[in-house]
Amino acid sequence: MKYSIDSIAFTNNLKDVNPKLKVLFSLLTLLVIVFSKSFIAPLLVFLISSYLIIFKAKVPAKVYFYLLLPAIGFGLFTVVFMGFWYGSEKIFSINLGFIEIGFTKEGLNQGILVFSRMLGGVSTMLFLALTTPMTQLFYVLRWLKLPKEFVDIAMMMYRYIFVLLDEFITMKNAQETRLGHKDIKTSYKSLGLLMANLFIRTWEKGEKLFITMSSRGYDGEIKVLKEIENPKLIYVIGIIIFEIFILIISILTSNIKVF
Amino acid sequence: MHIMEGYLPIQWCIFWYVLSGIVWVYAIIQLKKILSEKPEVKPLLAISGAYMFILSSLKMPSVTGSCSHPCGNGLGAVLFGPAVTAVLASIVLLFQALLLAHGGITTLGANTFSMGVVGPFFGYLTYKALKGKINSTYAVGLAAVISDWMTYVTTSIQLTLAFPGDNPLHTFLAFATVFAVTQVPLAIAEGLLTMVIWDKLKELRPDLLLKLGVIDESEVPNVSVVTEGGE
Repeated sequence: MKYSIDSIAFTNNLKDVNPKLKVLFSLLTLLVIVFSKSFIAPLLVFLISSYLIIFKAKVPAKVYFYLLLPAIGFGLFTVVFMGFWYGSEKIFSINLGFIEIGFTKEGLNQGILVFSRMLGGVSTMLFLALTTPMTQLFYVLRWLKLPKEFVDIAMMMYRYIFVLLDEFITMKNAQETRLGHKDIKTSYKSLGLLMANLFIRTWEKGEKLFITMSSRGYDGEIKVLKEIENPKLIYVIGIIIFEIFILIISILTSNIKVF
Repeated sequence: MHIMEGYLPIQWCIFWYVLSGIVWVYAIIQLKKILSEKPEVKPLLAISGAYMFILSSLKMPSVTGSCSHPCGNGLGAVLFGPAVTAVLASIVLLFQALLLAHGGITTLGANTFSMGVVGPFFGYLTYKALKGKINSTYAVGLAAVISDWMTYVTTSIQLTLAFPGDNPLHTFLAFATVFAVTQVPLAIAEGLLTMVIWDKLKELRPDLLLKLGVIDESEVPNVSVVTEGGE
């Protein structure tokens, strides 16, 4: 799973859309979702994001639903937990003799609201993650005037995550072929050994990277030439109209409850 | 414990963003100071951040057979101090949201506060308090456990504030109990793993730990031999 979001981001059908537009769309939509007091608007956003991901970006539906599963599982748990915990007006209850277990109206409604927000939020976040290559996001972060140190470290970190992951997998395979993970006790020992070695490798790589960069003229800041052009105004207006539309729906339907 | 995208209402998203934003700005200023003195630490910090990412996405074998993820922020705080860890953790959490779909963007503020600020800070305090008094391996293990537990207490507080119910204290206990089922054994497992890592680090490259100023020379008497030995 580790490679897949990243590799999909580089190969999907929407990868050439201006990243500033995608970031604007995702951030505004997320804000509208967490602002919404109605469960209908987030569900609508969920449907729209899913449509964009599966049919426009052509991300395999199986991968997308696999990524959604934690949100669905945790969401169902939240509905049950909140229905059980909050409010006082019981809809139905079971008397177990010593304790009465039941679901309340207020709690269930709140649980459903949170569930829908999670579905809408996770699908919108996945839209950004699955359609925008991380390298383009760094340009957006730089354009947003985040501190240089932060963006530089993030860029180098992104590159080295995959280098270290490769080393990790190589060492893990080496350990497994020598029965290093045959039970829990050896697993811990091997994993600790592996991570300690990885840290040492990390350190050596860091020192080498500094030498490499210095020999190419590094003087404390990384210079980047490429700029991302601004999107056409019409698209920006389109996104803002869409967000206002969702916002109006969320306000109009804020009194509709399931129970 | 990541709070999932969309879980918190807007006012709490903003509140936690502001709170971790303050710490973050302070940490960035500290970082700038370090970097202007020693530009060579920038690549090192970046790679250490990548290491933290790998550590936090590691699948740990646990007793029940299911797999769980360690936080990795206790070790980070002991090695690099709480300020640098806060910046690194914020990047790690952003990557976790965008590369693994763990956590979220609106909840990034809250997650940074629990996992990047409170947890590491208490881990760091624990290590500082115990440093020199007991074997540093145990101190690090304990720091990892404490930092994990403080993270999960903070998350419970965050969830309680967002959804207080009739009696906030009872709600807090309910959230804490739900998390305790997985987090208490998980934190102990992470502590054990951190101890094994630390032990090996101390055995193989004590010079690195000395350079970072996290252990005293009394603990590794034969360090000069190791450093000069080389590869």
